[in-house]
This record gives sequence, C-alpha cells and structure tokens, in this order.
Amino acid sequence: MRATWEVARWEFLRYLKLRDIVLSFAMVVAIGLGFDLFKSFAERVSPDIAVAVVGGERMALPLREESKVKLQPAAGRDEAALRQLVMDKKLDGVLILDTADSARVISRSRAGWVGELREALTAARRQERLQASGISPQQLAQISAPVRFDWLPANPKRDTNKSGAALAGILIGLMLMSVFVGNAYLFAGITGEKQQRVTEQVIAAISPQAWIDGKILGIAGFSLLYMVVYVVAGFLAVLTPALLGRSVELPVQATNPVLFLQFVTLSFLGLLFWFAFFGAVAATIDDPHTSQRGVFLFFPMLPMITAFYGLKDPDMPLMKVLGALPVSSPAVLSMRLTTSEVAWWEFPLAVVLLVAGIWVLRLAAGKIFAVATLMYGKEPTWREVWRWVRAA
Amino acid sequence: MDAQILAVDGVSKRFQTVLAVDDLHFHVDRGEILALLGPNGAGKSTMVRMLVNILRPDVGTIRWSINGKAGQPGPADMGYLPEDRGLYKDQPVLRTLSYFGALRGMERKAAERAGLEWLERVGLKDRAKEKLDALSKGNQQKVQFVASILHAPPFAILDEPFSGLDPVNQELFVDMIRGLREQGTTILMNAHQMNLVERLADRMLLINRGRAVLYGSVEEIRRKASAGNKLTFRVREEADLAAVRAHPAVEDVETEGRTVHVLVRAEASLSDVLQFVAGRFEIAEVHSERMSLHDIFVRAVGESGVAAEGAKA
Repeated sequence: MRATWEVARWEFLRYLKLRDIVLSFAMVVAIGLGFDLFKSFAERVSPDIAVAVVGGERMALPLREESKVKLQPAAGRDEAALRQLVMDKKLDGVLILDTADSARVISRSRAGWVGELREALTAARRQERLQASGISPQQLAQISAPVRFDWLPANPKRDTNKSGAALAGILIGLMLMSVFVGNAYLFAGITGEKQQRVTEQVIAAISPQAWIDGKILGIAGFSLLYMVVYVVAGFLAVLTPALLGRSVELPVQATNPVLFLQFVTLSFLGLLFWFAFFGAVAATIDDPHTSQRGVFLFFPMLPMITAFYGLKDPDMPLMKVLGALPVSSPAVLSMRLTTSEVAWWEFPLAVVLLVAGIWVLRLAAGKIFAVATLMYGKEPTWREVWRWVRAA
Repeated sequence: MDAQILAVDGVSKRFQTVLAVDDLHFHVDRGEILALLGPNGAGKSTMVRMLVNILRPDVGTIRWSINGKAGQPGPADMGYLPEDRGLYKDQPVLRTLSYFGALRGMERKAAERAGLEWLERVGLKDRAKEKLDALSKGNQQKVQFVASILHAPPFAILDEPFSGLDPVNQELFVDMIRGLREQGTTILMNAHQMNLVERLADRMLLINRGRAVLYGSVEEIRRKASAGNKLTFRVREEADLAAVRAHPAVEDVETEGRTVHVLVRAEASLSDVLQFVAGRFEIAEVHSERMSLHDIFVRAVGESGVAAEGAKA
C-alpha cells in the first residue's frame, strides 16, 4: 500500500505545475469576466445607425427605446442618390416604404438592425389595422394571450429549467475534458517509461499491481484537481459581475453542496475507472508514434455523448439504466442529478457498481501491465492479452 | 547467520525454442563480489531477471538468506541496476533519487539526505535540482547507479555498471563498488570489462549458452582453465615456428608479423621454453605475462561452444 501511495504522489506531482494551475484559473476567470465586460462595453460604444426613410409619412415606426437605429427623412433625395450615400458610408441604410404591406432596405450588409426594422414595421402595420377595425390594443392582447400554463417542479429547491440543463452540460463537458487530458498523461507516461527503459528498475522494486494502482490514483487526483480548479474559476467568472453591480442568475443546483460532492465523487470514480482501462491498453503499446491503439482514447466519448442526449429527457428508462452502469454513470447520473429528481438509491447503487468495476478493471490492468510493460519491440495481440488476464 | 546470501540450484529457463538458462548452480557468499560473465546471449540477463523475480524459473530453486530472512528479498533488501535502464528525463535529479529510495522502503527525508550525500560523492551535488536530461550520459549513468543502491541494500545486482563510461568514470565506479562492499553490501555483478572485473571480483561464474563454463575465484579459474603464461618475443628474421608448436610445453602459437605469442602450459617451465626458443632464433625483444582473464574467457567460451556443437552432432 505504501508503494502505491508513493507512486500516486510521484505521478500527481510529476505533472502538477503550480504555475499552470494559477494560469488556467486566471484564464477561465479572465475569459468569463472579459466576455461580460466586452458585452457591456460593445453596447455602450457602438455608434448610432443612420437610416433614411422614403415614404415615412405612411406610418410611424415604433422602435425600442434602447435602439441604436436613428431614422431620418430622405429629404427629397431619390433612391439612386440615397444608395450612393450608403456606398459612401454617409448613411448606414435606406428604408423604402413602398406600401403598408411591403418595404425594401438598402444597406452595405444584412446587419442585425435590418431585422429590428422589420419587427418595427410589422408592429406599426398591426397597430394601423387594429385602429381600422376598431379593436383596442388591450382587446388584442386579451385575444392573443396564451393559456396560462404553470409547470411546478416536485422539489421547489431544484431548478429544472434551461439553466439547470446548461449546468449539467458544462459538468459533463468538464468530465469529458478531464478524462481526455488524464488519458493523454497516462498514455505519455506509460509509453514514455517503456521507451526510456524505466520499467525494469521500478518493477524490480515494487509489484506491477502497486505501480499501476499508484499511476491510476495519482493521475485521477491530478485530473480531478484540474476539474475543480475550472469549476471554481467558472463560478468566480460568473459571480464577479454581481460584485460589479450587474444581476447574475445562477441555477439553484450550482449552490447545492450535496450535489457538488456527488459530482466530485462520480467524477473521481469515473476517472479511476477509465484510467484503469487505459493503463492496461497503454502498457501494450510499444511505440506510441506507430501504434493504432491510441484510438482507445476516444472510447469514453460514447457514454458521455449519451448523457448530452439525455438532457432532452433525463427520466427516460434508458437514462436510468445508463445512470447505473459504470461506463456511463459518472456522466449520465451527474446529468440526471442536476436536471431531474433521482431516487435516493440511484447514487449509492452507481457508486457501488463503479467501485466494483474499478476493482475488476484494476486487477485486469495489473495482470496485463505486469507482462506487457516489459515487452519491447512488439505489441501483444488481443488474444495474448486475454490469455494473460485469464491465466492470472 | 548463514554465510550464503543466495544459492541457485539447478535453475533452467526456456523461451519457446531457446534454452536461455540450463541447469545453473552457484551461490553468493555474504560480503563478496561475484562476477557473472558470459558472451552476449549467454543467459546472464535471464538469470538476473529470475533473481529479481521478474521471471520465474521453469525448474530449480533460488534460495535467499538476507538478514536471517528466507524468501524473495523485499524492496529494501535488494538494489538493482538493470542493463536495460533509464530514468525520468523530465524530472529533477534529487526528486528522482528520493522517489526510487522511497520505492525501496526509505522515508522520503532520509532518501533525500542519502541522495544529496551520494550526489556529493559523485560530484553532482550542485546539479541536484536540474532535470536529468540536462546531464551528460556519463552523469546520468552515475545518477542511475545511485538510484539503485541509495537505500544501502544488503544485496545488489549491478548489470553492466561500466557500460558507456569513459576510463575516468570507470575508475570512479570501481571505487564506488568497492565502497559499497565495504559498507556491507554483497554484490552480484555482470560486466564485460575484464580488467575491471578482475580487480573487483572475489569469484566469477562464466556461463555460455545458459550453462556454467568456469566458476570460482580468479586463481581457481586460472587453475581450472590451465591458464599458463604468455611468452611474447620479436624475431629479427622470418622464422619457422613448427618446432616451437611441437614443443610439449607449448599450448598455442600465434604470430603478428615478426612478433610471436607463445602460450605456455600452466604446469610447464617458462625458462625451458625460453631457452628452446633462444637456441633457434635471434630474438630482438622478449617479455612474458600471465594469461589474462580476457584470454581465459575467450578460450573457455570457444571451447564450450565447440563442445556444445559436438554434443549436438
């Protein structure tokens, strides 16, 4: 056990660069803050849009109060002259109201304000028609008002709206990223040790099982640390605008410590599960530059993608099953915990099955690692690998 | 306490069609240096891998008695410098040493202290925080050696400790291996530098094609190999050496131009042969030496190869 912890510590510290963590943290915060600042700055500094209106006497256009579009009369200029003014960038656009039902816009590009003009025209025409037919806007509002339809979540403390699904999507994405990053380190580490001929000296000192266990633990710990750093930095990025006086809406799950612990537990166990699998595969690779076995890196994508699919309906029976299976439970159950009501036994069941899966995989990985890691010059066939596992 | 730290009895190991180790018997006494010698492919590394438990023998037994404990030695009881070796090139020297010390059962702080002491001894203390990649090949070899014996094991296996070293560093390693023995470590060493082996080893085991060819102390091996003296002389003119070859005390004659090497049988008198030669040729220069370990090694391997071929036929 001591050897396992020594290896875990070594692997954790081997890749841990404090400077990189601080940099990653700062970058996530900076990106979040930067986006928020850019958005408000862009809104403040964007210039007015000058649009000349031909036939403006036909109807008044109700533009939004904060609209940057400023309408001005064409002042008797014909269409060609106005087009030239647009080309010369003296005007941003020309709105030609041909009839009450049709209009044309001339501009250098199909910018966002063109749509805004269309909405304003439609609203103006509706107003005209209402007046003509004697229906007041209040009456119209009553006629076209939708039926009131309130959806009440069973647990009012759980926000199952779109922001909850977005949070689940972010968590699954983070988990996927951590699995990929950790796998890359595991692959590079094991194949590098084989290529640098470190293996024999280590195998002579400790058992292959202790070595692979330590590797899996160390790199899972390292990956989890990075995941937590990104989560904390993301929170900071989202919450900092609130300190600057802007309103920030967080899904209630984001502040639920139990859910956070469940997510961390599932993530850590998921990392251990996948790294046990990849550790065994990496040990069979002789040369990472020529081996075709790197394709196994993409294996975790499928169960993770099913979790994204499940965001549409987290309670469908398939998602409940996938939420228990070790290959998919870290992502699928995290998604279900964030977006739905989950029976109390689902989390412990998933944890027990994950632990059992990790135990079986690590034993198999240890057997494969013991033989394959000292093989140089050739890759064992899958049949050989299976024989080692069965013989053990 | 048992005088023998290791006893190997009738060990064999086969890989598919190759019998890599064939009925080997030897032992290692406490406090000695035993040199395991043999040409490439003789089965030395296979034997060593069985000793460190990476491979298991097909037949035979390997018995250990380290500090009164039987059974395969624990990590702290053995040091191992493999032939196929390397370290983490992207990691600092001292951290690497501390890691290997910890894997061998040392407390991390103690491993770090011992690492610094050894680095001072090999002249690398000021480079303790540098990455291994920044060191020359010879210096990396020193770090590799230190990593394998940092924990002061009672038994150490050093597989080709001198390979890749320049003569100055070879001398440093000779001193370090002697120092290791003086601190109480019993050593099994495998090396090709016969002159260094001769200076270090108390006993030797020469194997070829998996079988023991010669085994014992250097003097015993000389006796068993009937290693006599080598008489080398230079003649002034071309000489017919048939009579010298036919002399009963002469085992072999080789020529290089006008230089003649005469291998005199161990039991024969050197002065008889010298008188015989001096009576027939005008000698310009002469000197004699004991048959080197290198010559004994080459001759024994050659003879065992011929014997094996003969047995096969």
